[in-house]
Amino acid sequence: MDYTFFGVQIAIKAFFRDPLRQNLAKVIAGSAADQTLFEKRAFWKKVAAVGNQAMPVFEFGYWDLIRGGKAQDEFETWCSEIEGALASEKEEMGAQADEVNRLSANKDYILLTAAVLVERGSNSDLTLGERCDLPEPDYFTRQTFAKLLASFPLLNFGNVQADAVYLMPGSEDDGFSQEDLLGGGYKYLKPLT
Amino acid sequence: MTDPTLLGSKSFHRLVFITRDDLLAARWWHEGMEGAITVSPNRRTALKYLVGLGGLFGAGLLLRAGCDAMGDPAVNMDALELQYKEGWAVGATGTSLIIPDAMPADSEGNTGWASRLNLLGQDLSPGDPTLAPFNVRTLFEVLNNPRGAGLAPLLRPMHSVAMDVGNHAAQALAALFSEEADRQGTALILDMPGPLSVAAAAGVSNVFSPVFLFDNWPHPLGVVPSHQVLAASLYHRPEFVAANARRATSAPPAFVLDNQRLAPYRDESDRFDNRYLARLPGTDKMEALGIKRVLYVTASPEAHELDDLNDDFVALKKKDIDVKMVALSDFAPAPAELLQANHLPPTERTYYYGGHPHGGLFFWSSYHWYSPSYAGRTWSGTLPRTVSTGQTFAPSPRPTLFSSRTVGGLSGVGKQKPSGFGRVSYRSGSGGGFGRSGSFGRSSSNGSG
Repeated sequence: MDYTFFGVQIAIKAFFRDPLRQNLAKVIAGSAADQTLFEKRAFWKKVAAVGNQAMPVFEFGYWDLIRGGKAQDEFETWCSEIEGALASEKEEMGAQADEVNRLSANKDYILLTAAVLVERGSNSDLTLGERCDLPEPDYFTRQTFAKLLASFPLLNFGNVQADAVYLMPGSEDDGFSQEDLLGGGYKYLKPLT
Repeated sequence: MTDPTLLGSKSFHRLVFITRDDLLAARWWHEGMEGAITVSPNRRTALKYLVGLGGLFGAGLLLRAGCDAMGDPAVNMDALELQYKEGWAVGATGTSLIIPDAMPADSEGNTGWASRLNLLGQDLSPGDPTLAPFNVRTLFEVLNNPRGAGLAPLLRPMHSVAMDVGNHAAQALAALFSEEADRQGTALILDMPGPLSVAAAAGVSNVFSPVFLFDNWPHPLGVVPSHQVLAASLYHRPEFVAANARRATSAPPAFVLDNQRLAPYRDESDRFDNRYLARLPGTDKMEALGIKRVLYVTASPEAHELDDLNDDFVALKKKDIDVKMVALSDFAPAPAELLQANHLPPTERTYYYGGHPHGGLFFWSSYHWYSPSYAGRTWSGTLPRTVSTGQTFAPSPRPTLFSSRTVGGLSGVGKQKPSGFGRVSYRSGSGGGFGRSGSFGRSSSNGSG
């Protein structure tokens, strides 16, 4: 069976004492290990609702829609590369790793990533196609990313093969600086207008 | 409109949940819709990236005894973490270990080797404190860990013909660097099947300081037969101990790897994915150690380094640290007539580069590395044995599953481990058994995949 991959990554400006990160963390951490299709939709509604509250401060982002062929690979690539931070734990050595990871001590951003793998040709695939059918100038606007994030709960999860959500950092005490996002492994992120 | 029957029967099962300061993550897999699970095509796609390695993706273990517990939630976890939690032979307790070429005694003929098993890691540690931080003792520590109980009685020293040949070839390699001025700034990376790497490490240990990088635990059903590495280490331990006492403390490092760490693994339902990645010191550490040239040593000629070393090698090259390759098969005994012509005693035990007593001259000139001992000496003969072209090797970036991440992850930290690599899906509950995780660690409640 062919699949379609859809993934969105958004760097959101994190303000001092802003409950956004905490709220997102609560939604993700509070999600059940096993979810029915109804629960799945409810979960994504919460993610989209909480995430989109911060739409005015969506600062950088990246999204992709891949149909057939490498869709499964792409899903796994996104997941494994983000989870790669976990896999490399042993290679990290004390404070030095922090210096390598982070170019600045500023904690200005949180990074929300959502990805889904749906059956090709299904109504979920069609939904994604419609949502992503955007004029090129709109590819990287805040409104577009809010719309894309809001696409997840619109999916018929009967056609969804796998989904994933990532929030970085996982701690309230941490965050990404602009230098982190503009350099190293995040160069692909585009500034949102 | 969604089919109501589907709504009743389908659900998402969480296969990954991570909560750490640097990441909060959850990933689900929709089990019910996978009547004909599409894992295999995906894995096959992944295999295209793995020239000669077979399937690195995929992890898992299906033990028949675990079937009763298949209804319990599965926890996908690192294989080593699972062994730390449940024991080295988790799920296969009582299964014997196969040690080919097992010996009753070690290389010095001691039969009392078992009494010092718990000191193996200590005995094989580099004597040089500057190298100690890079020594990975994970494998040897299984002998001191309560979760390693039951392993020791199954171990025996191991010594095969291949190990013997490798040991002699490695001695010949070390002889090329026997002068301190020649070996200064040189690091070896021995990357061969585990027992052979250990034998080679013993062979070079008078000149180089072995630094072991074995980062897993053995398992009776392990993809990586690391118990053989332990067995080979038991056999050669006296040589390591003696060399440690003899060797200068400032001896350069010989990093010792098991090339089976990336062994092919597909869907075998009766194997435990204990694969791991090499953890070489970073370029800055290499520079701090004064390393200027790296010799990557394989058993036979290879086109390039293993995939998980590509980023490291490319990074070394960028720092002007010269990386070249050599194969142990480049070393062989010299023909009797050559030994006689050079007034050397006839022996099959002494190996030379290219099988010629003057092969060292050829080595240093063809590798274009400066050697105070060999400088100014020329030799115009031919080698009786064809040698590899490792002297022309230069690292070049190539796409591998371990390449630096480009999406999402934190840049520049270690290596990217493909999801599923070295992970198992563990089902706790009534049976305490295991479920099989399919490709990328996805669990399937119907046992297919």
